[in-house]
Amino acid sequence: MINVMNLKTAAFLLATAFVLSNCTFKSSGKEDDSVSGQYEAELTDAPRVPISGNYKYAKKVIVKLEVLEQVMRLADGVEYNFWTFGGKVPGKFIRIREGDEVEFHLSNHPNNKLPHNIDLHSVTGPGGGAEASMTAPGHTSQFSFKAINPGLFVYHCATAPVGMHIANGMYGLILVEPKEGLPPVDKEFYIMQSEFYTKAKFGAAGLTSFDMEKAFNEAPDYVVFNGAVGNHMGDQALNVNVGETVRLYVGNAGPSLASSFHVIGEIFDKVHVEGGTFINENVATTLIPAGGAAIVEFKCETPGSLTLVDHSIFRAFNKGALAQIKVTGKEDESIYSHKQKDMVYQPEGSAVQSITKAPREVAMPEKSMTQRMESGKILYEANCAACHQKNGEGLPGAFPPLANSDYLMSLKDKGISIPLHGLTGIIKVNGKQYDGVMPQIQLTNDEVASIMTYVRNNWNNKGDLVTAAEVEKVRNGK
Amino acid sequence: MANNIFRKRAFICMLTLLAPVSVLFGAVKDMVKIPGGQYTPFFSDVPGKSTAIKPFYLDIKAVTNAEFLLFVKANPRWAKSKVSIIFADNSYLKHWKGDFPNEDNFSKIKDGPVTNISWYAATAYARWKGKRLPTLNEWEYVGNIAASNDTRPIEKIILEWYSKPTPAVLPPVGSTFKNKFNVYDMHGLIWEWVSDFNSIIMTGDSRSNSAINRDLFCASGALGAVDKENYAAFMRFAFRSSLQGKYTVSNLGFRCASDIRN
Amino acid sequence: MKKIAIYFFFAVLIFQSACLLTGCESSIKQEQKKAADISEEPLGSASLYQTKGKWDNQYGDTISLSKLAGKIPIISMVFTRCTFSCPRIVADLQAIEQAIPVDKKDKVVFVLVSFDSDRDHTAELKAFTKQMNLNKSWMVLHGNDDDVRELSMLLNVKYKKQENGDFTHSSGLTLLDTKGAIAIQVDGLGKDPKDIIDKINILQN
Repeated sequence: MINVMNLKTAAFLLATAFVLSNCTFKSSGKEDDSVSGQYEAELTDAPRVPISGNYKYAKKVIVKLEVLEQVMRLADGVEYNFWTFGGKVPGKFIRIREGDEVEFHLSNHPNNKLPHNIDLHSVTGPGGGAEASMTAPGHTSQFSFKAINPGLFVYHCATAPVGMHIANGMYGLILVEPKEGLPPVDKEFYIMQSEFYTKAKFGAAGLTSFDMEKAFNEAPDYVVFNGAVGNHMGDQALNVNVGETVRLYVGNAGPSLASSFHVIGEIFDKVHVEGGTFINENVATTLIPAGGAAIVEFKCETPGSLTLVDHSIFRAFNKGALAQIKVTGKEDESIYSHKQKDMVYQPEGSAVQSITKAPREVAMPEKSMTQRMESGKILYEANCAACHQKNGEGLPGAFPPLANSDYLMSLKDKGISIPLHGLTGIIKVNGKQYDGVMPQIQLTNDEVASIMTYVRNNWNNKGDLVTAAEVEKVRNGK
Repeated sequence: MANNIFRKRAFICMLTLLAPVSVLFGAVKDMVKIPGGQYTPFFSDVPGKSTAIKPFYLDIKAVTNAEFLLFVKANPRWAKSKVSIIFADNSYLKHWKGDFPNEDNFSKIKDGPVTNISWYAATAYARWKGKRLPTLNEWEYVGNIAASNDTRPIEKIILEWYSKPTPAVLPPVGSTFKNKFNVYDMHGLIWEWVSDFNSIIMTGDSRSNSAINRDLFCASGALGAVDKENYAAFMRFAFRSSLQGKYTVSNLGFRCASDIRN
Repeated sequence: MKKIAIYFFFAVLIFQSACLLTGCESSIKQEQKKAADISEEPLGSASLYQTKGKWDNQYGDTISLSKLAGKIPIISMVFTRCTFSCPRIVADLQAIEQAIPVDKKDKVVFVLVSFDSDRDHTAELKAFTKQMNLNKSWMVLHGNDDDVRELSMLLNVKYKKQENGDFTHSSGLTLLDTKGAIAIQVDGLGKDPKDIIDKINILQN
């Protein structure tokens, strides 16, 4: 009995100890606020996005970013001296987590001409870091900040004159993932819209440079995605497969314009409005302020080309704000069918209607046969050949032939009434039935005379001259 | 006979005078006298109020690599391998091969402006030559003078220079524009040290210059910039405020000034 | 006699011309060269005592900074007519003085250097010392414009003389070690003295 008692006590004590140690273990587990471990962030160039660190507790992150001034392509044949964070425009994508403590190293390449600093919109503190990071060429500045707020933020240089530094390409995005992380998707891309103000006109070849006055007037020559015209067009389009989910991290560096961001052919299932926590759904076009960002998500249901634009549409088609996502995979006609039919459209329906206004009648001298044939041919080809064809053979089932037409040549009024008043109802021409509508043609008596002369004397038709006076008689309802 | 003696003595007196005059001439060789005038400082405790600039001498061109080499040879403590770490950082004279480059690896750069030198080195050179660095106001005063052989306004010359990358080898001094005071290359070649560059009270964040952080800077009045649209000047001042005395930068050199002796 | 005189003047003229042509320095320049160079001490060291400036203290003594070797100086730059930040700088330094453990106080020296070369001479410095109640551990220094500018560079202090003779300047203080190298710098006013006190303790271990 003592043994059992001892055993029970022992078991009880063990259980208590276990439970207690579990509790202790849980409470000594790191709070999200305190930092455990450190690493150097992997930074990427657009359109690539770094893979999520996907860690549960905040860490210390070392970010090393270099400023480099260098000449690169702005458009085909056009070069520009860009000022860059990390060698490209836009600057590197930085991905960290809410609560991380960032040790930021900003280096200014010794070949650069100017001092630079950085203002990250994710930083709570003077100048967003600009106050602490002013760096002369050939030197490095270091400062630290805590990523208190989650979201997608722009960063940019804030050295005087700020507008010029931004206009020359000094911007990028920093993503502070929320504590719980963003839900995984198949593909993530980094897109940044921005403007360039150049001395030369849009597309003019050669090395061009910043134009202050255009910048003041907020009148850019180029509005582009990811730093140059056509970066993601054609062969360089972003690739996605049907059925994949896509997340775009979209920044707008400005410096001046807000973006009406739209993907032609897609609807955003989710929009993290302004890069913040509020999520809107089922949006086609979303506003991204200058110096702001947004996250959009969608699933590609059908293959084809999706085109990213700023829907202030002249920016897309005349200044370069175009990029493409190529979706490959199986068609689904129930979602999108491509063109199914191509039909003729006759706006007048089954009633005879005038095509044009009645022309003013002018007294003309009577023409000879030759003259009528000549002008009749021209008038016929301009007004009638579309249906009855140049060779007068019409279209089977639709438009009756005029060539060798028994119907035409049998008419008492030489067929004049047809162009004058139109014709509806079933008729039989050369053994075939036609049930169409011939509209009234607004032409002068002289013109109708020429056409009827031509038609009645061409293509093996054996007729005679039709005069303007005859036409006038038919018109006046003889 | 008395006439002859008198003439000879006069002649001797003239020669006597010539000697120190030639010395004076030597002291201002390669320099030009800058006339006095009014200058409106870009940053001022009383924005828009101009200050008087007294006449002074200024080097027509920036100090060249060749000239600086003479200085280093005469003062080996300023050689690349010997300079004190409080007076110059690691990039001091990095474009020179060794302490005293020979003709072969110097010929391409000898007439170019000397760069990668610190404020201390520039000040020491100036003193060695019996001169000094120009003050910020003196430099800006001369820098605002229009070009005499270029139709572009100064601001345009500067902005075009900013938009071009720094060449691997800087062109020789005197290869850009001359201004109406006959001074070369005030813009378009290099940045230049001034004696009191650390009198720019600009915070690291250039957007808040009208709201000086009072804990960091004691200011009897707010120091505001006069012409916020003078982007070119803004950058020059931003550059100066990013420097420390021992910094060396590959496109930062200097020229000397001196007072007018009465 | 005349011949000698003439030969002499010609010799001088030729000598000056030769100097002009070869670019060597005239006798006048030679004189100035002696006053030139900043440093004469063995280099490679980070000590601020490499500088050769001469300073007058509030007692009228002329010293060079190297006199502080072996001590632990805390240096700041002020001017006696300053009504805003300089009294606060002094207050910050006095707070540090209070907070240093008694057994670590001995080597610590508080050094105030005036920007105001024109107006802050011995009399003004003395009056300032009295007004601020500064004890023997404090040094208030006057120097010429060039030396003040050079020191401001070494201490990373920005300053500008205004039209009315006052100064706009940054606030902060610098702690040197016993050899004169910078141990720590703190910008701004009213900062927590903990880092400085820790450093002072470490320097004396």
